[in-house]
Order: sequence, then C-alpha cells, then structure tokens
Amino acid sequence: MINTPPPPREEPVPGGQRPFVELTNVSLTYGDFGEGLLALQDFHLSVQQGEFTALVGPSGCGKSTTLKLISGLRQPDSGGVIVAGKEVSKPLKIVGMAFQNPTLLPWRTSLDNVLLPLEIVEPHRRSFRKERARHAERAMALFEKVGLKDVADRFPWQLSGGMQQRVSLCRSLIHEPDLLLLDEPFGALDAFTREDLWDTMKALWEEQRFTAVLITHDLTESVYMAESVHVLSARPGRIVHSQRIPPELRRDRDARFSPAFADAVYQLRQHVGHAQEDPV
Amino acid sequence: MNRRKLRQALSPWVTAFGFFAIWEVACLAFDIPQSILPSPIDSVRAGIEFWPVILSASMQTLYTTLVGFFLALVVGVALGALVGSSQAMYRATNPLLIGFNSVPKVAMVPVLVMWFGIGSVPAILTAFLTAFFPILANVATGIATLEPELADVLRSLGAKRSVILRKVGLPRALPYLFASLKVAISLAFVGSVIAEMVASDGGIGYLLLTASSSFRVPLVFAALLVVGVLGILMYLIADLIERRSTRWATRGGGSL
Ligand SMILES: Nc1ncnc2c1ncn2[C@@H]1O[C@H](COP(=O)(O)OP(=O)(O)OP(=O)(O)O)[C@@H](O)[C@H]1O
Ligand SMILES: [Mg+2]
Repeated sequence: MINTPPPPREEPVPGGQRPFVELTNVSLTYGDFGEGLLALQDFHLSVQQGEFTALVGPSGCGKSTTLKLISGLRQPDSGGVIVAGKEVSKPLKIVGMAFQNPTLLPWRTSLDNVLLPLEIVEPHRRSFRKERARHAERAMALFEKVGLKDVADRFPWQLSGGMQQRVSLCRSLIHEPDLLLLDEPFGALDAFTREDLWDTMKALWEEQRFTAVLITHDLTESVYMAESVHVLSARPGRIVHSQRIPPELRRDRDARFSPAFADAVYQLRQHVGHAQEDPV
Repeated sequence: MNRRKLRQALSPWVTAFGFFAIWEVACLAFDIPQSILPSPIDSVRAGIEFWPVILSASMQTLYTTLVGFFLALVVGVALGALVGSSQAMYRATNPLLIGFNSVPKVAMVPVLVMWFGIGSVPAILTAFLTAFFPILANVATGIATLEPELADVLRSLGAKRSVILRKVGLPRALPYLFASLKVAISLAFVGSVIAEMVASDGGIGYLLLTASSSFRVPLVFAALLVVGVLGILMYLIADLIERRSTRWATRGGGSL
C-alpha cells in the first residue's frame, strides 16, 4: 500500500555537522507486562541545530511521546536519543515547552508566570531574587514582542485564550532555551488568533534561531512554520514521509495562498492519508 | 444596597428567627413541660442564669477544639503532601487511611482515657483524630491532580520533586485545603464535645452530661444553643480565611 520509499535515515547534513536532535531506532512501550501499548517502533528523526521542524500524523500515533523522549521526560526501551551531542538519560534543562493547554498558574500574574522558569532553572535560580528586576525587564521585552505589554499584571483568568497561549509561549522562551518543543500550542485557538501567533512565533524564531520541534494537526500550519515536515504513520509511529519546505512558501501570509503552497500541503495530505489507511 | 441584596443578607436571620418562633409557639400551644422540651426563651433564661459556668465550659471546649484542630492542620498538610506527591505512596497508604477513617472516633475515647487519663488530652486528641482525615485527603487530592503537562514543563527545567511541590503543588492544593478546613473545624468541635461527654471534667460536653443527669433540661438546651453558635462562628472564620486567601480559585467571582 505504501508507495513512497522509506524515509531517508539522515537528512543531508549541511557542513558535516551532527544533528542537534537525533533519535535512532527508538522504540517505546507504555505500560508493562504483555498488555503494554507499543507507541513508537524503529523511530528515526534528526533535527539540525537551529532548524524548525514539524511533526504531523494521525491522533495517537506517538507525536507527544516523541517530544517526551527528546526532552528526556521518558527514556526509550531501546534505541538512542541524542540531543546536543549527548545521550539523553534524564530530563534536559535546555528545553522550553508549550502545550495546547496554556497550563498557567492561576495564582500568579502573567509576568510572574513567565518568570517561573527562571526561579527553577540553573544558573538563574540562585540569583533570581537579586536579579528579578532585570529578568522582569526581559520578560516585558518579550511581552512587547508578542503584544502583551498591557496584561503583565493581570491574572490568567482575566485573559482571553489567545493571550494565555501567548503568555505560555513567553514562558517557554524566557530562559532562552536551545530547544523549543511545541505540542499543538495553536490547536485550541480561533483561526485569526492562530494566524497571528504563527507570525509571532516565526518572528521570535527568526530572531533567536533556537531549534524547534512543532507538533500539529494542521498541515497549513506545518508548511507555513517549518523548514521540514515529517509525517508519522499510525501507531506505532514511524516517519513515513519527510518534506523540505522551500523558504518562499513561508515568507509571508500571502504565500499561504499561492499554488505552490497548496501543492506542498496536498503532497503532505496524501501521506497522512496513507498513514491512516495503513495501521501496522 | 438594593432590595435584592438586602433580602439576601437578611434571609438567614429571618430563617433562624422563624425556627425559634415556631419552637416557642409550639411549646406554648401544646403546653410542653420544661422537663421535656424547654422553649427557646426558657433556654436563654437558663443560659443567662448560669452564664459563668457556660462561659468557662465554652472556653475549655474552644481550647481543646482549637488545639486539636491545629494539630490536625499540621499533620494533615504534612501527610497530605507526602501522600499526594507520589503515586506509590498513595497506593500504599490509601487502604489504611480509609480503614482508619471508618473507625468511629468516639470508640477511641476509652482507649485515650486509658492512656492519658481524664482531662483535656483525650478531648484534644479526639478533635485531632476526627479533623485530620479530611485535611489530609483534600491536600493529597489537590497535589495529585496537578496537570501532567505542567509537571512536564517544570521537570524539563530541571525541577526536583520538592521544587515542584513548593512552587505548584502546595499553592494548587490551597483551595482544597481551605474547603476542608470548614469541614475539619466542625468535626474537631464535634470530637471535642463527644470526648468531654465520655471522659472529662470540664467543657460543654461535660456540662451537657451533668446538666442532663440532674434533669436541668433548660440548661442542657442552653448549652446546646451555645454549641450551635460556636459551630457557626468557627465555620464563618474558616470561610472568611478561605475567601481571603484563594480568590484566584474562584476566578474573582465567588459563587455559581
Ligand atoms: N502515559 C501513558 N500511558 C499509557 N499509554 C499512553 C500514555 N501516553 C500516551 N499513551 C498512548 O500512546 C500512544 C501515543 O500517544 P501520544 O500522546 O504520543 O499520541 P499523539 O500522537 O500525541 O496523539 P494526539 O495527536 O492525539 O495528541 C497513544 O495510543 C496513547 O494512548
Ligand atoms: Mg499529543
């Protein structure tokens, strides 16, 4: 049924550099003893330093699981996970994360929510109290970029869903992580807010050039945001198709309405279709 | 204040007044003897007559209740945090805790008397034993229901378990804790009074016992009224603290 060739194991590596994130031959089973659920099998993925990558695939195929492996929140049963040249064996500390649900703390103002990572992550943790003013300044600068300047003192429940998600994105970036993991952060937003946030996110990425892995159900989003898009098969997840997106498709909003953009989405769509018709 | 608000503010008083009015009228209408059911006015009169006794008894009960309650608060929060922050711990302790909670605390009073003799200590410990379980259960629930994504965010920043507990777990459990305090303080009070009835030489419970055994029924009812009023007072204090400290949990609203 699958008429696409198996995905290349390694992306062509520019400059002979090792990938920043590299998963090889990874398998993971949830639960133990016999009735376990095989979430990922023989999974390969590599992401270059500073690259924006998107993962798409049917629901329950193991996308969130992949992020847990990359961030070290879970260890694979077999296979290797290497991030920044090191084997991942415990939760990494260079990661920012954002989810579909903003997961803000309702008893903290937006500003204090964004500052939370700095209270926890080394080396900021030790000097947090002393340097709070400086950190707050940085947070405000970030707020300014995402259009949140006026809501710093408000509590999450006083904000709209889109604003909460912006705060959550700021929180994931405040400690300047090398690796940003996004699990459908735009999924629950209305279409207009989502498009605004795409541009916000892109501007931040273009400025800071962190490595990003975005999970999404929205193919338009994946093509617009990511330099390369990987399609996963149904569970147990494997990458069945990888596609590089030419930069001109991601240039601006209008590019989304060009025929070439529609083509790219269509191509991806076909592979997602295959993934769903072919449960292994 | 508009009329609707005024009506809302007055309604509990009207209800209470109505209740006592019906009671009074019933006593008069059916000519119920004082030795069976004294009317509210008779009870209050007895209360005024014996006020020094009632006051010192109330103070004693208040003291045992509050000491027991604060013990329950400290132990309940500590154990609740412990049980709530680990699945394994929860699984391991849950049956024991449920079993413990099912034992009527009155049944333990004789044991406490055996150990500590007649006096304040059994009352304090009974108050503690009745009150600490709801606190423990609520704090554990508050901590255990932390969103897994939020825990992931913190863990991926290198947060240790203790840090997650301090930054998120405990603040998150506060509304649960305060909700349980209202229940717990009433339970502590009930525990105290019961223990005083079984084994004490002071307090409202002891007063109730001695008054009823000497057939001073109006005094019994006066003491019961005082128990009710004290119960309301303590509930109100717990309620006030709750509303002051966790406004975020009700999103600034406060009612359905
Ligand atoms: N903690 C867990 N325990 C047991 N099974 C799990 C656990 N987490 C995920 N799974 C299972 O593993 C599979 C992959 O889950 P995962 O969350 O990675 O899917 P996903 O691709 O992110 O799905 P979605 O797009 O719906 O978010 C699913 O079948 C899910 O039921
Ligand atoms: Mg998911």
